[in-house]
Amino acid sequence: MREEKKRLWFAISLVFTLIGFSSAYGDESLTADKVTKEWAQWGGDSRRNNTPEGKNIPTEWSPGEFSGNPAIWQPETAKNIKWVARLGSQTYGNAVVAGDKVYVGTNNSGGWLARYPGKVDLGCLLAFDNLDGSFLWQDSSEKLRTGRVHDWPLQGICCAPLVEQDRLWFVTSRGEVKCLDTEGFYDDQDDGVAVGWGRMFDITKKQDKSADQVQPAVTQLDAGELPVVIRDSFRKAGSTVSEKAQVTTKVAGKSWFISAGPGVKSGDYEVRLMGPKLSGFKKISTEDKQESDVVWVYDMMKELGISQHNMCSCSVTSAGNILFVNTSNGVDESHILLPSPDAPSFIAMDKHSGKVLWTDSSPGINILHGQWSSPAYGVLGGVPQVIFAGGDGWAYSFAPAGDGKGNAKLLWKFDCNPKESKWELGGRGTRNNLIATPVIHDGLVYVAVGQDPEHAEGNGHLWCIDPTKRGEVSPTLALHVDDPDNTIPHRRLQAVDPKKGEVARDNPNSAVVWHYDKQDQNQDGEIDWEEEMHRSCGTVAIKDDLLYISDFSGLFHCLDAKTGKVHWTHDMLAAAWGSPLIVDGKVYIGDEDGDVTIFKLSPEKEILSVDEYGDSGPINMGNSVYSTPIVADNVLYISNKTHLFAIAQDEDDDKAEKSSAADENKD
Amino acid sequence: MLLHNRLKYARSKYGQPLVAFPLIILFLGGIAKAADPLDWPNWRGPRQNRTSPETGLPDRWDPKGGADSNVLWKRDDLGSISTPIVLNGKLYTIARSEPGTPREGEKVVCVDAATGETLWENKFNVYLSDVPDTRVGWSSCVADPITGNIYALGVCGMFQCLDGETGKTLWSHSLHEEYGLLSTYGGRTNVPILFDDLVIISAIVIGWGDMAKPAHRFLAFDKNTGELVWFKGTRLLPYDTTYSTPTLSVLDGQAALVFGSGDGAIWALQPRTGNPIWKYQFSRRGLNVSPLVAEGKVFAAHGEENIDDTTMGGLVGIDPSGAGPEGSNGEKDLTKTGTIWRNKEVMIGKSSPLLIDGTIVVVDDRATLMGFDAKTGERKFKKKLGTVMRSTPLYADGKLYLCTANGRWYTLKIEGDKVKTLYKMRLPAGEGCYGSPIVSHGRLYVPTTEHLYCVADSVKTSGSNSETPLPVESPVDADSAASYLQVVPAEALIRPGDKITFRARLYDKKGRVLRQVPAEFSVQGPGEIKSNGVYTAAEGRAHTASSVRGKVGSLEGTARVRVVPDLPWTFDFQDKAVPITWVGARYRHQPRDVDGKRVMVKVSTIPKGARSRAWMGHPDMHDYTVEADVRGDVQNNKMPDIGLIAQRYTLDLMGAYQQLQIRSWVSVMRMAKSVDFPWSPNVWYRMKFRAEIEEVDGKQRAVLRGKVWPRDQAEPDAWTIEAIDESPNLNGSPGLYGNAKDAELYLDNIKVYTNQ
Repeated sequence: MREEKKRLWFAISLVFTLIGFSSAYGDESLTADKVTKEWAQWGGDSRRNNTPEGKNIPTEWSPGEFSGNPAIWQPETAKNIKWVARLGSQTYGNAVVAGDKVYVGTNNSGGWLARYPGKVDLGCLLAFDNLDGSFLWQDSSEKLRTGRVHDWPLQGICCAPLVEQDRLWFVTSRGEVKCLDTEGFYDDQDDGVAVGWGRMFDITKKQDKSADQVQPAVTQLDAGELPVVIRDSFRKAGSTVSEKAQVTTKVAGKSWFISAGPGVKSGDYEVRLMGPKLSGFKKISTEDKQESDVVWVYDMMKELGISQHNMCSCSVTSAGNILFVNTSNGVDESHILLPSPDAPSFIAMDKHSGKVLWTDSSPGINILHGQWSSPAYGVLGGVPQVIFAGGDGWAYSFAPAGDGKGNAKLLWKFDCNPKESKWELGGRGTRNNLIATPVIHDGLVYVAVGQDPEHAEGNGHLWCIDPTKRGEVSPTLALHVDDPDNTIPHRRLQAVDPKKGEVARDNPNSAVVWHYDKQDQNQDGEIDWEEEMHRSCGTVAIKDDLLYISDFSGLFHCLDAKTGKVHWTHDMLAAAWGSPLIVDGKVYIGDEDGDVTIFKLSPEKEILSVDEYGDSGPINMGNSVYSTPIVADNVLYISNKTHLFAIAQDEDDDKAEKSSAADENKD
Repeated sequence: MLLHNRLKYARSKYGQPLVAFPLIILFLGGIAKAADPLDWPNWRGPRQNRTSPETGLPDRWDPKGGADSNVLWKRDDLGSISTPIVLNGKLYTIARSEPGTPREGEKVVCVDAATGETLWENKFNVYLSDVPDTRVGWSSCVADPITGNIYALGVCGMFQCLDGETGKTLWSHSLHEEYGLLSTYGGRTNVPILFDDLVIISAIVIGWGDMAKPAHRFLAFDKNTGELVWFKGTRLLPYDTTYSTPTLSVLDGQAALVFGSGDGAIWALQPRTGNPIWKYQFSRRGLNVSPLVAEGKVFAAHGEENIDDTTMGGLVGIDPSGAGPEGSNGEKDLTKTGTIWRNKEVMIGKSSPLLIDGTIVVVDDRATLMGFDAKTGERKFKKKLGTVMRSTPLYADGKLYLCTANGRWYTLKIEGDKVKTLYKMRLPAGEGCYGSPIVSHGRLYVPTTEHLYCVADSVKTSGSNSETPLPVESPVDADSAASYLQVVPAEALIRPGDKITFRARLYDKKGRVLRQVPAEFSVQGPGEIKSNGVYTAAEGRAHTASSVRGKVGSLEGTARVRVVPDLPWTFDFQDKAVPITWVGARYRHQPRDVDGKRVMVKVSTIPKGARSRAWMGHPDMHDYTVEADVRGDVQNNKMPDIGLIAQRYTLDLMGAYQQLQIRSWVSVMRMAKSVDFPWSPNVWYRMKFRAEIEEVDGKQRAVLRGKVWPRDQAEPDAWTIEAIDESPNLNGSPGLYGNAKDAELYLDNIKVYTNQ
């Protein structure tokens, strides 16, 4: 079985190698029968337009029931579900399908590793076998000790990884960029950085001396003995310490090394006392198949001084050998102070070595909150461009190679907020961040503004930008009436204060193709709520000149991608965090209520899905769908917070359909 | 099934509508007092269940106002996230004061409930807090029908008792300075609750001595004097701050304070002693929903991680009458035994449950209305209403009134398994509800982020239905044995030579007062105590803490005293200790030898505590100067922020910004001043911060001056930075601010003295 898969993998790798990366996106994985085989990064490819090719993608399914503790999926209660994989309790990272595996960022509540029970909070990147959803390996990010200001509890890994051949890149909840071997240790090789120490357990000191296990264990360890509690704790964490193990004190009362002992093949351990905790560590080896094989890791907090706000997250992309990362640099707990105003916001790295090629810190002191957008890459007007959305509400385009001196080379920048709009602490204001990913389609760039969902709803803007202009291409320029020849430097809270004699004037170099914030669809002279664009972290999906986007206020919008004319809006009565999928003539969107609504790809609104009452309406997935539905090789993948569902027509159904078709033929 | 069980949730039979005459209500604890049943003295209503017996209420209203709008009055200056209350014809609420000005603060407002005309305002500053201005007014007022007094917790921890007629402050406590209340950006602050002669409030508290580690703790004050009667908490190191308003009820004949805690458990405490009765571990994270207590059962909800699997969200019916193993605090642990039913994957983390005709009615965080059979937990209906819900619906006149956070208003009627929409509309753009609608005397009051609306239907005749009596606490009988001794005050902060009288009270096992008794008092630590309970603090300059012990037979009770002298003070840490009297300082700071001398280090390894504030003494202090030697470490090119606090202002030596800043309310910066100030890591500096009140044109203002210089150089004459506050903090405890998330900071030779 494994041999077969390896061969398949080899074949796929070969295809990649032959194609090379002359085009960083395109239809590499599109087969002759026009089916997209892989969805190997956020958006499907570096243009981020989620429109894979697929056939017979279900519009009807039932996720099924779960019973027991931990909850076990009951396949007989499900319909059109190929397999289900257990995730954590909160899943914001999108599934990615590449090769024979599926990768998802989540938290550790699923407790896949014995050494990290579900109650330990971690950021987890999980790899599953795409055949049946079985678990392969996990990359674990322990929570930062600085706490929620940098690393919010239980949010896990929030990005989608990038996979190319046998390498995977992603951003961890610890502010790192990591490159992993997709095969993990299943290839019996350690492909990268020296094997690390894996935490196996913590025993906390107790005030009550009679109940305390730490101090007696320390005394025993210092005496060269292996305490029973240590041996038992290693066993509980899934690793048996050899009977012949020998304890050596490294620092008396602080740390000890436990060697496997003479004649024992592997298994070296350490015990360390740190504060009130006595912790056991195991040297991770290629024998530990459920652990990740780290090729390189780059700590952006340490190396670049970044200070992410609440979460570090970016779904990275690449062009050739260059990897693009938004660093997440943001404000501190006061929400006013920026601990690292000079730290880069955007970086380019050599994807093989992890070396930083260039950095850019344009958003700087104007970062409003955090920076959680992901870059897009494409060739626009014949010029390769990497497009970053900044936490200052500006979109930036850079030459992917930088200036050759470690700095960025700016092509254009575009302010996505009206100049008079105001940022207000707590989310009430009219000025927004950019959280959505810019999308490249047919030579144009699309991006919508939004804020942290905690900030609730507010007004939004969706922009269609011409990326062939250069320099300052914002719709308007900030000027003072007394000095109309010079623009006012951008200001964080409000770029133009009319009370100070400042004005926003049309920019002759504006790159706006169209702008959508409101449109009087019913022509009654009033703007209804349903006729407005609201804050969004959703990314657009475009096909056949039809553009779809969701917003936090629960509206799903369908527009003409070329003109910005609104065809229709639909009130889902639930906030959408994710983005639409267009496939097989259908549009899929998930929402916070756990509902997935399916529309016909059409300028007319037509709902294809049927709800639990048999009415035209959404299919409920059991809990929130924060993710974006994706399709690879004719399988639809949707994750809710706790599970990843691989959705495809049941084979029985196929038979039933076939037989009923035969019956019809008879008639 | 037993007949009485089947009847337990049977549809209630309303009697004939009654005219709105005051009824005699039996208060918990057996105090009888005439109160108007159509008053709404706390945000959850007179029966703490968000339901009202009133009839003749409107279905429709138009926020634009005008003819036929049913809007009686509206105030565009009283938009707030607080829920108003009504007592004796007056409406009380909390709102932002002078928003967007250098004088911005918080205020308790009293308006005429019929006309909306302001009767008085009590304004106070928000200080030493991260809370944003739009989260001011998180808590709600509570009215005491007996005295007419109003209790209000400000968003930074200023807790006040006000005269309901005049708005005059009768007593107040600055809960973060005195006890260590945690005030955060999130803004979650709890709502006070009244019981007997107590007013009880809770928060995450990081205090002093044995309370230096964080816990969700309750402070019960004598409602008339502000004296602290008891001070107790739930599990140490809770995950979250919390705002689950407790429900006071009688369970099995015993008075119980039932609430969701920051530690993720539902707890019942004895309201007079703070002793735990039972707990039910419900979530891994803190709980914010108020539990509903009805017919001897408890219904609670959360929207966070469950304790037993990967799912989130829960709604539970708990029967607290059963048995359970004893937990670590002596409580009955109902986690495994108390569940009647439990539904998971219902995200109800903000809006509290109601019981309507045998159905538990909830609105989840995504504004989906759901009904569950109270006996079985079976879902009866589900209706999507919008996207985000923060407030709690009101049930009155057979109608459910609610408004989502984004301004979708619904008037609904529940008919069995069906939900009928009587009326829906959308508030003007940008307007939503965080506070909840209330009703009193035929008028609905709707607090939105932009307005306070009073809504009434002039055509309909208002009235009210009768209500079933609430359960009453069983009385103390002759053979009730004493089982608990309480020493009051539970905690005091006094000066050397001051006297304070401790009293001992006996309670029985069910937390009922038996009597005040003479006790055998003793003191551990400095000071003396006499047999009549009079404690006299030792004279001298020492900052000390003592424990007062009262003994009656085999029962013992304790109280804590801090003795902090008047100025001047000097701290050089040569005794190798962080002063025990400092609030919020231990654990976060450690004594250590640096450069051959013993100093105090703010460590970077305390989760959630690496950036924090600490307070050294009396909140009534004013016009003084704080000085200290400071040094910042550097890690990964990052430096700490080092701050001194004087009179509720901070002088902050900022590492990342390389600036010196004076501020009071970090997220609003209303009077803040900053100057560039390059400084180096691993160099000792001397910081000096002076606060004083000046009078200009008959108005008081605070003048703040700071300077920083390398320690080994002479002090410069000029101040480095000055700031003026026209809305001055007139007093406040000296303290410390530090942000050691990135790198440690060192403090030494701290001096505090009266301005020279």
